[in-house]
Amino acid sequence: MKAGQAMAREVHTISPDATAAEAALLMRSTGHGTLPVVDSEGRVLGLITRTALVRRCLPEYLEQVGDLYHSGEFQPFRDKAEEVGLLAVRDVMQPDPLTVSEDTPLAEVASLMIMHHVRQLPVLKDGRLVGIVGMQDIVDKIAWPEPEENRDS
Amino acid sequence: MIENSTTAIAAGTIFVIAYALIASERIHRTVVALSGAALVLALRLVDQEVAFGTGHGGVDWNVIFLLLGMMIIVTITRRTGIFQWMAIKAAKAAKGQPIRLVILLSAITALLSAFLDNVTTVLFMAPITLLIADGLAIKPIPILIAQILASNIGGTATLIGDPPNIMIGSTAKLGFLDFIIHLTPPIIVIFGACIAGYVLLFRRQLKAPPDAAQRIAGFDESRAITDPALCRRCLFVLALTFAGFFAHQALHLEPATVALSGAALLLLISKANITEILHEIEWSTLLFFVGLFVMVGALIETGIIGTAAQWLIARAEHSPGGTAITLLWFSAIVSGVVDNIPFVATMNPMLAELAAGFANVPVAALTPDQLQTAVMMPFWWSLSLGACLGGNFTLIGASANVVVAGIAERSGHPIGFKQYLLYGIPITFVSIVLCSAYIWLRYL
Repeated sequence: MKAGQAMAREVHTISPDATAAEAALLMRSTGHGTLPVVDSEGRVLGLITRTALVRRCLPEYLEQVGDLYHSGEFQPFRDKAEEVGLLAVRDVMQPDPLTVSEDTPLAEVASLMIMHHVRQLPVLKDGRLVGIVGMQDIVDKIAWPEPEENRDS
Repeated sequence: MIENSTTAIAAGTIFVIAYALIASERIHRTVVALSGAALVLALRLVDQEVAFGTGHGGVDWNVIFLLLGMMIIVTITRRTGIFQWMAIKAAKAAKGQPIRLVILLSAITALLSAFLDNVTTVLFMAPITLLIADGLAIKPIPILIAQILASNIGGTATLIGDPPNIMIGSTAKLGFLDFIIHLTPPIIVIFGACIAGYVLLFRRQLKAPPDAAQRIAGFDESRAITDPALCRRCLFVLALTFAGFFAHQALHLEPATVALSGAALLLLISKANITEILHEIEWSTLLFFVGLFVMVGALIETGIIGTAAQWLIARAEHSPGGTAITLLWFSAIVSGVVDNIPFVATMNPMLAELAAGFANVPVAALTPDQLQTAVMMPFWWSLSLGACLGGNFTLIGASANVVVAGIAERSGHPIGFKQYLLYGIPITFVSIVLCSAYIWLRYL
C-alpha cells in the first residue's frame, strides 16, 4: 500500500495571507486539524495545525513551568487567544513541512508520523499538492486489514 | 619555579588561547577546556597520572563530586513542584504588589542560591516569575534583574552556593561552617543594602495593576506540588544533607562525600529513573571543570603558577592588606567580564603557593592551619567575594545571568546588555565597597 492509495484527494488549503482566526474557522467547519498553506501557484509553504495554534496561546516558557495546575484562570490565556487570531497564517504556520509522494510506502508514512509527532502529511507530485494522508488513514488499516492477495502489489 | 622555559611557554600559550576562546564564546567553553586538556596531556606538559590524581596539580574531584551530588538531589527535588510552590506562596504574600514581589522573590532566590547551584535556582525561578508577572500583567524585567543579582549575592554566602566557593573551600581546606561564619553575615548585609537600593532606584518602574490582589488570588500554590510523597522524601534528604554539611568537619567527611551520600540516598528512596535523572545532569559543566583543572595542572607543573606566586609573595610581604583588597577588586572586575570558574581555578593554586611561601613548606605538605593563617584568610575571602559578586557586573558576568537573559528573551522580554549595566554597575560597586570594608575591619 502506498500513500497515493490511502490519501484523501480533496484537501482544504489556506492562503498564507489569511488570518489565524480564519484558519481556526476553517478547521471548525471542515473538522480538519491540519491545513496545508498553499500560495497562489499551488506550492505548499507550510502547515498550520491545531497544536501550533493552541501552543501559541500559552506562555513561551510553558515547558519550564510545566502544567498550569497552579495558575487558576490565568488571564493572559484569554488575551493571547485573541492576539493569536489576528496573526497572519504565514507567521503561525510550520514552514518547510515534512511531505511524502504518492509512491511513499504506508509503513514509511506511519513511521514519519510517529517519529516527528505529526498527524497529517501533504502528498506532493512535481512540487504540487495532490492530496493529504492522515493518521486516520493508517488507523483504517486496523479496522479494515488489507486482504492477503493485495499485499504483494 | 620555571625550570624549562619551552614547556612553560607552551603551557602558558595554550592556557591564554583557551581563556580567550572561552571569553569570546565562539566555541563552547567545555569544548575549549577539553581540547586544552587533551593538548597539554598530549604534549606531556603534565603527566596524566598527576592530572587525573587528587593531589596538587590534579583534577579536584572533591569539586566535581560535590557538584554532581547536588545536581542529582536538585534534579529529583525540582520535579516535585516545591520551588514553584515557594514562588507562588511568596507572590501571594506580596499580594501581587511589584515592590514586595521584588523583595520576596529575590529573597527566595538568594536563599535557594545559597544552598543550591545559582544556575539551577534561576532555571526554575525565572520561568515561574514570568508566569506570575504575566498573570498579574506587570513587567517581569525588573523582577528578573533583581533575581540575577540575588542569585549571585546569595550564592556567595555558603561553601556550596557558587562553584568558586566550592573550589576555594577544597583548596584552602575551609569547611561549610567556615563559610557560614565568615561569609554569611556580610552577605546578608550586602543583600539587604543592594535590594533596598534597587527598589529605591527603580520604584517608579514597579507600578502595581489595580486588580493585582484579585489576580494573584487566582493562583493556587497547593496544586503546584504534584507528588507529595516524593516531596516529603526530597525534603527529608535535603535536611539530612544540610545537617551533614554543617557537621562535615566534626565528622571528618569531605563535602563531596556528604553530597554524594545525599544523592545516593535520594536515588534509593525516590525510586527515580536513573537514566532520566542522568540525562538532566549538566555534564558539560562538570567536564568544563575537569578540562580546566588539567590545563591549570600544566601551569602548575611547568612552574608558571609558582613564578606568579613569587611575585604575589613579594607584594604580600610588603603590604598584605593592600594586596588582599587589590585581589578583591581585581577578582570582581575579571569575573564581571569572563567566567569566574577558570579565574578561580587559576588563582587557587597561586594562593596555595602563597601560603606555602609564608609557611616555608612545599604546597603538598601544607596543613589546614598553614593554609588558614591570619595572613591568608583575607586572601581566600577576597577571592571568594570578588569572584562571586563580580558576576553581577555585566549580563555575561555569571552563567545565571546568561540563563535568565535567555529565558527572558525567548518569552518576548529581552534584557539589553546596556539596560542591565544600569543595575549591574552600581550594585556590584556598592557590594565590593562593602566587602572591602568588611575585609579591612575583620581581617586587617
